[in-house]
Amino acid sequence: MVNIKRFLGIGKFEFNRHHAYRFDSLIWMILIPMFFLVEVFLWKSLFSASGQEVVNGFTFQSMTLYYFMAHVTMAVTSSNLDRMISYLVKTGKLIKFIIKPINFFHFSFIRNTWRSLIRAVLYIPPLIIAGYFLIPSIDFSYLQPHYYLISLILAGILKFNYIFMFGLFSFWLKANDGIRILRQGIAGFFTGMLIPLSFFPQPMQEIFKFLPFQYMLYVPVQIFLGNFNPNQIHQMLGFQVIWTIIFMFITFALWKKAFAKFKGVGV
Amino acid sequence: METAISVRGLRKNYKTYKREDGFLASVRSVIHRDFSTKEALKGINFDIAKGEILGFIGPNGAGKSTAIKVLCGILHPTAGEVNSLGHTPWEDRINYAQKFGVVFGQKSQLDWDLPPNDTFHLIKALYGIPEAAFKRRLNYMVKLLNVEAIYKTPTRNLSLGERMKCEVIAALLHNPKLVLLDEPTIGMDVVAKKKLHGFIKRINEKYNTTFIITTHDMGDIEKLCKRVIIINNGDIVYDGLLEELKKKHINNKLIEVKFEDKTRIRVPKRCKLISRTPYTLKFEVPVKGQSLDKFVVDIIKNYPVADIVISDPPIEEIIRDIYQA
Repeated sequence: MVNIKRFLGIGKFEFNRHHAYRFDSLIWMILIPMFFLVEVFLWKSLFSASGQEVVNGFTFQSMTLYYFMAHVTMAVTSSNLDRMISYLVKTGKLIKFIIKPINFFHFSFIRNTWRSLIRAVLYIPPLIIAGYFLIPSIDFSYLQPHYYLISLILAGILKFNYIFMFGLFSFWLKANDGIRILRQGIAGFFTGMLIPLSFFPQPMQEIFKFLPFQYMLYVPVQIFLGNFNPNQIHQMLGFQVIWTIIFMFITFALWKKAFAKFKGVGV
Repeated sequence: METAISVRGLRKNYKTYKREDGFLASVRSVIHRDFSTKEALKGINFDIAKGEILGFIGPNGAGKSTAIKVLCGILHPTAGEVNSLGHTPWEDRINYAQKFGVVFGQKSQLDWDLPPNDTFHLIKALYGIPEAAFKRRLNYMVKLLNVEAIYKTPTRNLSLGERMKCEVIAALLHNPKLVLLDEPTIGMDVVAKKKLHGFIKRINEKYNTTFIITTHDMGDIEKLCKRVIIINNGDIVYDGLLEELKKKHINNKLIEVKFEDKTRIRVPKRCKLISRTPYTLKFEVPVKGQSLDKFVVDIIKNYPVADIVISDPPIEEIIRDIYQA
């Protein structure tokens, strides 16, 4: 059931929240291009030290573009939903959402979607400015922006379910911080945010194909860079859909359990 | 009268974990935890009519909040039946949520860093309140509670009283048929309390809204409720009119005398001294089997009385007697 007024109302509220914390946003608007800058200079020196034009299938040019798109993808799909849920559970403030005539999962999804949109608007322009100066001239004909957009949306939904699941753990664990740090560590490594996954040994790359992480960042970015042929792209989108469905099921089942626990069913 | 809520045999048990003192017990608790069952509600029954303002009172841990949470549908009872506005709260939560509003005095539903007004608009979107109705109700309530000047300031800058008033508005924006107020006047000053009392009465008269109020403040009860339910240790110990409660349990009258000069006075026979200074005397008179006139006339005749006040003992004392019984 799509309820436009409800969707817009939650959006307005999220916008107001971002406005209230605008200094935070401003800092991220500066920090994200800074990270990008550091990465570009790091790889510049690595490429010149190696003396090779192509490292693991990347030229310096495509490497800068990889990090650029990784940051764009991250800006849209990152979420601190697990921390929010854990806070609500710990303080008992979850009640204020439970008494509303809306499913909490549904509500969180709309909220997360708006946060993604707001972050895209705030953080992508500064990245583009940095990219304009840092990325050497590129051949646009290889790029696959349309497929990227589809893959990005799927990655966003997948990541929402994945992070929501981590948030739900706080119904059973009193302290959720350790798990969250683990989650973030995993995300940095296995999604391809730190280094492209093609830098890992071949057997590991094969394993990654059957794990959900690369579908959150590495796959959409590689699709954008034109590193997959159309067949592979369809396959990858298929994997994203499958993982999204799997996590939806897990999250939904877990939410039912968590909510039953919250309500004290059967005690 | 039409029934808003009927509760039959409502029970709720909690499982709580225990850990003994000491390091060994800590280690043991990792492997095996002892738990005990606490009976928060022991099978209570009551009915509430539409448009009633019901006071729900009891000492800490008596089961008031548990009952409120069950009525909100956020707690699944161990046993029992509840019919609230035609719904079983914990089964039909989302449809039911449209019909009731709740204020938890201890848990704010306003966003801390945003003005209450922003939360009001979020509520409007979540409950699907039409624009015109929203504006009308908001303006009406904001004026009635006198928060026009502050409802657009961030919640963190509001005083406790101001915040609570905004919480009440937030709970009432969707014009619920039933409103549950869990300690709504906690931390409020007398002026703010009075304002809120007036507000609740107005809303009750205007919309025939049913209210359930839990509180530790007997002032709230005396100002608002005709009927009270007293709950203690998970059982209902009194359910009836406040007047009846007073009649039944008030065995004494309180007489307070002020004198013009230093006066030594003996406490009359069968009366209980409460306090005495050279200028005042306070004592309790049993009302059964005698009229008060005799005492009063005697005192006025024989002593230099500046002022004399006869009153009922405070309701707190009655409640305390019932709690401890």
